[in-house]
Parts: sequence; structure tokens; C-alpha cells
Amino acid sequence: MTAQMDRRSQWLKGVLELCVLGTLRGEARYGYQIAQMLGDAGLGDIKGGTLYPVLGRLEAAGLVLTDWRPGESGPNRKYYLLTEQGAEVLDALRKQWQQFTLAVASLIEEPTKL
Amino acid sequence: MNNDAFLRRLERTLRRIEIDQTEIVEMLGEVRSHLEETGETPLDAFGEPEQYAIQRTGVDPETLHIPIWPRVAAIALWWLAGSTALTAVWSPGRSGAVVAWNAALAVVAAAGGLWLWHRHRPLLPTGSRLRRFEMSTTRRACVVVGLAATTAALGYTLIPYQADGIDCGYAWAEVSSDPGPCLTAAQDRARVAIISAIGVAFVAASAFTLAGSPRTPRVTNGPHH
Repeated sequence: MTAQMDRRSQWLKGVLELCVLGTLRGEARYGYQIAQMLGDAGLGDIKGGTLYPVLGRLEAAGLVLTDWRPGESGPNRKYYLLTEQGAEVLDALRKQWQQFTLAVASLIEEPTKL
Repeated sequence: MNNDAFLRRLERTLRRIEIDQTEIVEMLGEVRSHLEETGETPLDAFGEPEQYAIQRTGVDPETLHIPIWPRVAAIALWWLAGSTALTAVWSPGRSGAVVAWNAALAVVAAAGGLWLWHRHRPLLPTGSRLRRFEMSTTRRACVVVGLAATTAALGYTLIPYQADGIDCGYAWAEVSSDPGPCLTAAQDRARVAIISAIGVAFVAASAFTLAGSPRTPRVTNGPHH
């Protein structure tokens, strides 16, 4: 079970930036919302300690913008928005990812029985 | 650790990394907001503050400048604490006020040394012990000179009177209006034994430090730079 989780976390490490960019398509979201979306998609429990460094790197690279907004009866929230450049990178990465998964699938799928 | 304590430690670490004040406020804000939003415990959500600060800023901890002066100052303070503590313990004939002042000074100096050492400790996310002692040739030389000077100072100030067969004070009493404590032969032997043990400990610490310190510093330009 642990080995399986380790492997999963290795895979996630490679695609987390892409997944986070994906959650921001079309709508600004705050950190907890992004973590919930990733969890709901089946990527497991993404901790703040993992998520915010990724968001920080995306911000530093100019792929997302940030904006503090008052929370609903709670603390202020830092929202992340995809920039134009971020949307372009997301599109490019999505295509690369699809090619990559197709290549992997072609190697590991069971041969069709005739 | 509650949220405030975590944020305090995180802020201290971010200041040590020397990033922009605006960025520090921003990073603290997002952590506070996340913790209040989720109700998670900070350690569960972010791990140790030092480790999180390194991950969040992307800085390579081995490239951080750790000044040598706090180490030297801490050792000097501990030496002061040790010598004043000895004076406080072995000061027959001295007034209670002198003993109390010495004891208080010893406590303050020891605490100050600990504080300095702790505040300027290296940031180690995964920390093998060896990494703590990695240092440049200049630093190795500073450590050797500093420890040798400390040991020599201990020997000069505390041992010579005993070596001359006089058992009524330390060397500094020669230039002081205070004649210093008069010790029994047994007390004096104990004093010399303790001082010798401190000297041996310094030399051992020096040898241990240098043995664990590779001659060439690790290449510090990681993938973040």
C-alpha cells in the first residue's frame, strides 16, 4: 500500500502544476478551493505545504495572478487567476500530456485478443 | 503548535532567507487564510515551518549565508557563564551580593549564548548531521583559531595560580581589586579538573567539527538557480 502511495505521489509530482493550472481555467479560485477540486478529481488530499509552493512558482512564472478578496464571514482569501500566458501554457501542456499518456498506454495496454 | 506560534516561526525563517518584506507578508497571509479556512493544524497542513519556508521560496538552504560571528559570540558567552559560575560557587569570604551578581551574570550569559546559537542555526530540511559542519576553508580556520583562543584564555585566567602553587584566586585577581576566592587544596584540585575537562571538551568538539567537515564545500547551485 505504501509503495503504491509513493508511486502515486511521484506521478502527481510531475503533473501537479498542470492540474493546478487546469483548476483555474475559466474562473479565479482560492487555495482551499483548488485543493478540494484536486481531491474531488481523485488526486487525494493535497496539503497546503504542497499546493502553495506550486502556486507560488506559477505566480513567479507569470502564469497566474493573485488577488486578495474578503471571505464570506471568514478570513480574506487569496484568489488565483490564470493569465493569458498561463492559458497558452495550459493548452500546450495539455497536448503534450495527451501525447505522453497515449505513448504510455500503447505500451502497457493488454493486446487485443483475436 | 498553534497557528500563531507556527506563523511566528515561519516569519522568522522567511526573514533569515532574506526575501522581500512584501513577499513575507503575502506568504504569511496565505498560510493564515488557509489555516483559518480549513481548521487544519499548521503542522498537518504545512509541515515544519522551516521546511515549508524553503519549499515555498524555492531557496537552496545550502546557499544561505550563515555568519560565523554568532557562533564565536555564543562560545564567548558560555565561557563567561562558566567562569562566573565557578566564581559564584567557589567564593568563600566574598559578600553575598558578589556571589549573587556572579550567579545572575552566569545565567544571563548562558541563556544569551543559547539564544544566539539557536537563532543562527542552519536551516536543515532533511539534515544529515554532516551538512551542519560543512564549511569553507576560511571558516574551518576561524573555528580552529576561535576554539584554540578560547581554550588558551580559559587556561590563562583560571589555571596559572594553581600552577604557581598559590591557591588563593584566579590570574585576573592580580589586576583586580578583588583578591578572589581562597580555595582548599581539594577544592582547587576539583576546579582544575573541571577546567581541564572543559578544555578537553573544546578540543574534542573542534576535532569532531573538523572531522565532519569536508574540505571542499558542496556545489550549491541547485536546480532553482
